Amino acid sequence: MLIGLVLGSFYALIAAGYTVIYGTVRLINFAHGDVYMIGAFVGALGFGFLSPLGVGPALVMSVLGTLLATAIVGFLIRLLLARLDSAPGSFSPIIAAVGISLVLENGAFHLWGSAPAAFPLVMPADGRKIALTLAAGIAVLLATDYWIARTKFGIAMRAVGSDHGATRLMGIRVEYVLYVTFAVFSAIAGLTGYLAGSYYGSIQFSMGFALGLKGFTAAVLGGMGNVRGALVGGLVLGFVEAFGGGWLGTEWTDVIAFSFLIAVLTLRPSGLLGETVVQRM
Amino acid sequence: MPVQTDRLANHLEIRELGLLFGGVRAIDNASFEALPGEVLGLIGPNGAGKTSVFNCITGFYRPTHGTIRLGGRAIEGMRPHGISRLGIRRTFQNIRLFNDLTVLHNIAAGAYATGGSQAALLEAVGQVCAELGLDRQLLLQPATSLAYGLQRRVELARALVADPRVLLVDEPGAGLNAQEKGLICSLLRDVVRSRQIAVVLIEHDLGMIARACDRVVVLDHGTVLAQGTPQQVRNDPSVIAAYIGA
Repeated sequence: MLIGLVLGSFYALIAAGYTVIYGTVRLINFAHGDVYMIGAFVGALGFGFLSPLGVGPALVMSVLGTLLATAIVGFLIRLLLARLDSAPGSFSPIIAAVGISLVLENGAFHLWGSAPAAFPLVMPADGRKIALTLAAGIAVLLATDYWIARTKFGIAMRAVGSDHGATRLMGIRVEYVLYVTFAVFSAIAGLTGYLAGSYYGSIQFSMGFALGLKGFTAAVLGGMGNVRGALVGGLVLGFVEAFGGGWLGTEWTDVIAFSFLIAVLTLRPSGLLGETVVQRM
Repeated sequence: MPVQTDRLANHLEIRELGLLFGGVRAIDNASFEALPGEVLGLIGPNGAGKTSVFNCITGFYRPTHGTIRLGGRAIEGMRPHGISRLGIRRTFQNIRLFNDLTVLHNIAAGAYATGGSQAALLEAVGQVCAELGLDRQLLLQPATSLAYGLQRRVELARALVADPRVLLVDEPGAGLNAQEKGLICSLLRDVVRSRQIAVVLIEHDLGMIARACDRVVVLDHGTVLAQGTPQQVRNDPSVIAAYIGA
């Protein structure tokens, strides 16, 4: 159950980014999973470089470095997407997001190679590993939820998601909100990569693809555009995978996860917490 | 209630405003002003250019020529969020509340740009709700789940919470019954009296115009056809001709 929660918290953190970015610019940011991978590599390199300072300072500084680096990646992704045709129905932004994903993944492949690399900060192999990862994951989840639901910026971000034009007339700088949104949720994805790297002990250039896909699945499962739905969707998906994998074998986890997604969407097309929008005739 | 002391700051002046859409003159050398402490009606047949004027004032359209001044400062060509931050707020003909937000968060979004603490924001929301007769028990409900008349008032609250200098109200009577229209007129009169701001009201219901407005500007094909008190414009032959197509 705890392993399912750990996995679920990773999915939930990535799903939150997918759903918030979709909610604000109506775009599936396919590069989001790769930002998670970048976070893992930046964290590993940073911790390795700073380790002569001692575990504590190296940990703090490498986490801060990971947050900053992935926030900058998110900012640059928005900078690029903002210059594309964003008219409804335009395929440019989504193709660009796929392109950015491929650039990041292949760039990581050429920089760091295809073989799995060891993450230098290895957590103790006992229960503390799960407890620490879970505590960090849940803390970030709760902080994210609070930031979106309770703060002035969170209100502005949700208002932007509802109506860009009306939001501008409230004096809110929509582009500023979008840049901050991309930067913050990319930093969260990077931090998740750091956590996953230290939890599993190894990282690889392709790690973002699989987790990005599961994060996107969790966002759809929870109800696309609904932040709490994404958090719930991630945790539920983690549970389902952990229980299903324990029952039928780990090779079945993807079959179980996606069968569960299809079953939920068949019974509840708007996802677990999504609201059904009634179209007026 | 916030009372603006610098009345001149709440003065909206439009001079020889023009807006071309391709070869179509949506606004043609329109000039008028909205004074602090008055409700100015902006009326005219469909397609007269009323909402285009609002879109120019709020920065959504860039005028082809002419000037728009707020408290003496030229604002034409500025971006919408900048104009909003200077103190011009508006409501919409088709209500545009933020779908997924509660009443509280909808109104609070209106005050985002004013800075201040979370506590100050909540206090401002409470004050504007009291001013517009919105029950505090509504605050945690999804805004779009409210009855239409209440949604109109929430939209007004969202515009007023930032203590604007000029309020632009676009057809607030659309979809409302006679009692609700009367309430909106009373609220606009109260707001103008207590805040000493300028209110510009677009409305097709001439009864509402007569009840709410101190002066009226009549637009037709983008030009100002007449200006004056509601009584004066009602009896103006050119206005009558424009409305009945004579």
